[in-house]
Amino acid sequence: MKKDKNYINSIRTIKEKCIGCTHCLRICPTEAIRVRNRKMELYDLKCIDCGECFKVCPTGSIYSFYDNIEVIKNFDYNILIVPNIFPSINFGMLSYEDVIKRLFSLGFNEIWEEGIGNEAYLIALQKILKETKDTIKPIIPTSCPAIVRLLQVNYPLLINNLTVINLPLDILGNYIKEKRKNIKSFGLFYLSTYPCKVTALKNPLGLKSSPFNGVFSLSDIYKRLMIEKIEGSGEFFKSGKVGVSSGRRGGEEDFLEEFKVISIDGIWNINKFFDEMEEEKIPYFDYIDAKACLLGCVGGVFLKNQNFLLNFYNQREEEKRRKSLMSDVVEKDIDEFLKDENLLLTEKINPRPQYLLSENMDIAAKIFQEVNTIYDLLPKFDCGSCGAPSCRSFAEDVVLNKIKLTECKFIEEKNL
Amino acid sequence: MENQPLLVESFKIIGKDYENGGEASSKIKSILKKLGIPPEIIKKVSICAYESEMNIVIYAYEGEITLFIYKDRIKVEAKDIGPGIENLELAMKEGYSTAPPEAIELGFGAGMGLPNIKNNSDRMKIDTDIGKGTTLTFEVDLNEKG
Ligand SMILES: Nc1ncnc2c1ncn2[C@@H]1O[C@H](COP(=O)(O)OP(=O)(O)OP(=O)(O)O)[C@@H](O)[C@H]1O
Ligand code: SF4
Ligand code: SF4
Ligand SMILES: [Mg+2]
Repeated sequence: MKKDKNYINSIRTIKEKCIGCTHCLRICPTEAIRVRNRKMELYDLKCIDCGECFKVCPTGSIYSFYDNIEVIKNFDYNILIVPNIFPSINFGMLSYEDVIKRLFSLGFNEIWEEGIGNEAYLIALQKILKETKDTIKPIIPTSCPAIVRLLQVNYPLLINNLTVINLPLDILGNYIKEKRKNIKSFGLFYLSTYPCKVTALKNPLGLKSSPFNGVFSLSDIYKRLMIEKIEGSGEFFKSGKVGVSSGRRGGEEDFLEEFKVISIDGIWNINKFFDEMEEEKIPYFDYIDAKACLLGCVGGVFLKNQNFLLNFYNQREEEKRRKSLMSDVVEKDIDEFLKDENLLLTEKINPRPQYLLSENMDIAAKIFQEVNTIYDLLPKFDCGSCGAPSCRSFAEDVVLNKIKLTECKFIEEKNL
Repeated sequence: MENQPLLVESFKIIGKDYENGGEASSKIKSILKKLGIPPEIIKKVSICAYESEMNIVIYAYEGEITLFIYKDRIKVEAKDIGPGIENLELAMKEGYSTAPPEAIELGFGAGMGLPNIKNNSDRMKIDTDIGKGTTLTFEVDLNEKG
């Protein structure tokens, strides 16, 4: 799949459903949301697809973009990667093996667990931590794409702390692509539970083009699996213990036990930590096991009511797989995974500064002063009744002509 | 060198206010981010601004830090009312410090502040008047692209 530079975010809204309750407004870590005329509006350039807004919306107005599963008909041979938390999902009466069999019947020839990519990622990281002395520490991971984008949007000063290793999903995708290159027409797909990963496939981070041909929604497929009774078969590649636990808060930390690693979950906690890091107030760490969702990927977006259950099942699944630390493929073929072309980012991940007022410094300075003038007039309650998440963001919107100053309830027209 | 600043912002600093020490430099950092100044330059300015802010907090009674942004450079002026610096040459030496116990307890007093400013800025100047106060000015140049 070619990189689509215009694909910015995966979060979408259904205007008709939105009641303008503003629950989503202040939960957004990058101030990407406004509520105008009782409808949510997204500043898509600021959105990092963390999914926090989705989690709090009481009306189901927020959803994520996905491809239609019909696209697999365009290929003769189809490979599906299931998310690292997939084995931890409770499918009711169905066992995990049954679920996989039913998945095959939807038209897939091979199914791989994403955790395999996480295993390769962690081995590579361990190598870097051991062997490369001059890396900037603490290393910030690529394993959570929402974190990478948070860095691009809010923390330009920390961008060089990002690891040079690809997203685990891309490492696995690259590996499979290379291994199956003799098959003429094959499609590679991902089953996603998070908007963050949809965007990471549509507009890959640090890669010219994505190894994937499409991405499907777990909730979509879940429904089909429940109805579809037919069982299929094919090749199934399981991850080991490490792959399973990598989706949980602290999972990466467990694997990297010989290093000084700190685990942080929740986008707001990470925001605070990165603030402190920018201020250089953080003691030495080798690596930050940072996951935007609370609890880690098991707290993932589209499983909003199941988070603690998933965490529980994830620990169980890890226990079940304790005998095989790593997947068989990783054990046998790690050198292949670690080849530069599979492993390393091919493009530098640059800041995507949305806090920036203008590209041109003269203009930015002018706007900044105007924003300050307006801000001084405001009560600084950050009450949100104007539809902006903070008085400062409101002042910016006013100067950029996106809203009228009189939308602030505390400003009386006669005083202007 | 351009002489007309694009932006001027000032921040008051209170002596011995360790709790809020560092806030002015943190605000300066966020302004520079908003203006799209390259990260490497922001880092240098922040280091220098922080060191000068903390020196006011530790040694002076009160002061003010002013940020001037020019098209070609960033200037910061840290002006305080305080005891002044008796021996400038000595103060500039790495490791020289007269930090009081409460500052040492908080991790200051390595005698690295002023040398750090010198190393991270393109120009630095100190005017000091014993018994009256000190004004430290430093500048960091923006490259053509900035
Ligand atoms: N604004 C000031 N007013 C009075 N004396 C000052 C001022 N700034 C620095 N000094 C003097 O210069 C000395 C050296 O300052 P410098 O910032 O280099 O080191 P420090 O503050 O002692 O330690 P560090 O900055 O490493 O925490 C100080 O100990 C103090 O005696
Ligand atoms: S997905 Fe995250 S960044 Fe995007 S609008 Fe929602 S809360 Fe904001
Ligand atoms: S949470 Fe946001 S999107 Fe959902 S109904 Fe309320 S205002 Fe609309
Ligand atoms: Mg000092």
